[in-house]
Amino acid sequence: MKKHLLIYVVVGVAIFIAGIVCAPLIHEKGYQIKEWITKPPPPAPEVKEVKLYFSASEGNYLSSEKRKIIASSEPTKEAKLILEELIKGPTNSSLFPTLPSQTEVRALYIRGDCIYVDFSSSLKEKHPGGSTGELLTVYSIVDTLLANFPSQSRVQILIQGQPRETLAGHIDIREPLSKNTDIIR
Amino acid sequence: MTRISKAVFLCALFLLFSICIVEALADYRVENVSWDSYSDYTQISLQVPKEAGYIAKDLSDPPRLLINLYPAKLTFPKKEIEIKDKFVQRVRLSQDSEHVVKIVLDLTNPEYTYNIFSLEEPSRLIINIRGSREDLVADLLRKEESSISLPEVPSKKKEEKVGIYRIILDPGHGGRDPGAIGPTGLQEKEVTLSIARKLSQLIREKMGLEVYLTRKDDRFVSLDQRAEIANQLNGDIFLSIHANAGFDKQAKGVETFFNSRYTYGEGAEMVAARENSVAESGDVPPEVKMILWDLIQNQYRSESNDLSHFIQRELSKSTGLEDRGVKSARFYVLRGVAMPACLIEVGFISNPWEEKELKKDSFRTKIALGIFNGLRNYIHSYNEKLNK
Repeated sequence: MKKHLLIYVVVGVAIFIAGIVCAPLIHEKGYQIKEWITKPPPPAPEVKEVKLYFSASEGNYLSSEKRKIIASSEPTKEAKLILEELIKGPTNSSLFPTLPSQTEVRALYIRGDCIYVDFSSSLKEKHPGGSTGELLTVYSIVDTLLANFPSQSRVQILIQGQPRETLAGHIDIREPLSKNTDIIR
Repeated sequence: MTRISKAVFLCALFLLFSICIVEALADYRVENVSWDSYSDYTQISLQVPKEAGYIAKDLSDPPRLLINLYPAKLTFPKKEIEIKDKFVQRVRLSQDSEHVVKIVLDLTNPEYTYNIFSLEEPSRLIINIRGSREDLVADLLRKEESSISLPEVPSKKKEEKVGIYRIILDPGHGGRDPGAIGPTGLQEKEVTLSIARKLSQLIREKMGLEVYLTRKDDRFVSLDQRAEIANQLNGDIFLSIHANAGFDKQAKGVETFFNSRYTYGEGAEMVAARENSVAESGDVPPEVKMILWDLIQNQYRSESNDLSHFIQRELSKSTGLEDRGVKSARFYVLRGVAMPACLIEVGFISNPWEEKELKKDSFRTKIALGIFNGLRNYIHSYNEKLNK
């Protein structure tokens, strides 16, 4: 009988210790399970269709391509995403890119009716030059942004935080530019 | 227990976050404004954040220069610095919005020119205010004389002569700016200079007109300097010669551009209207006057359009290259020129076949001849109109 009592005591103590050790674990697991049950499943990201303008017909004009991006509640984030898609270039093989692929969007601000985009120096340094190339670069940026943000009316291009005279010696980009529809077909 | 520790953790995180924000804002500080008066200009220097960009606008009645700096934060609430010298009355600094600092220079004279540039370590913005544009051009030419070796300009006033006598040719790019580069390495600056030289010889010999080049050799001349040289020389026609390029290597042909009509955007007017409304004089019109030089180039718009069409027609005929037509855009160099002006793209250096052609001396002669024929036709039609 005494032997039995000892075994009961030992087993009892062992369970007690095991309980103390495991309790927090079980508690945590329980918490997680509770979370799994109560937390709604993450919403599927909202997809938005945007318009991107690329070089068409041997650089004679700009043509648009539709692309799906993940929508953002912040316009500046979405505008940055759109420009990053523009930099990636077209998927349609009859269209050509308008920005050097190394270009990065450093920052984007929206103030009043104007979108300020700050590009890395690659936009200037890696640009192939030529009036036609430069015209398409400038207006693919301006027209793409203004087509997707119709409430804005002007775009100021900056390089490394500064307004510049030109990208490659031709088109004046010192001041904010308005939409150019003559170049779109 | 867990709630308390969570709360403590969140507080710590918030504290860290606010420290970060304060630190970040500290980088946008604008401080240490100083100024110097010289006999021919006034220099204002202010310490600004490294990443700050600026936009400058000139406003009239009373004459002011407005500079918006962003991202930037004043370390003081507001400041007015009295200068009262030949060029600047006072400098006013204020926080326009959270990250924008507004700097207004009240100027002594409505006739002024300015230039703004940044210096590093410490990061500073330098604003120079000088006298009228004429003084600046004279100054610039005096300084550049030794390097550019400008010809003697006859003192004949523009109003006294009728017709077209003096042609300014502007070979694009030069020096440290090679322009576009072809697939086998041909540089635009070399092509444009060689065509300009051939063209200048043709105009002199076949039409007996005066011809000046904005650069005679492989040197860097800024876009502002090119326009100022043309204006100082009182040219009657300005032709800027370029070779084209693009991302699409198949792009080909010749194209001629003239300056599109330029007007300020609505936003600029709003900024100026707000600025005007706080000005002391009450009867200031809300519209902003266009910059004099834009008005002047607008005035020559129809001549520039005609000139472009005459040249485009003959150039595509003589070279046999695809005719991409006449287009207009905001060209930096054309904006500052006070005479009929166009920019000619003589072929795509980025197109392998056209690059090969552009290398040939015989092809460059064809180009020069095409431009010459177009120019001659334009002058004939201009003179005919004049004699009617």
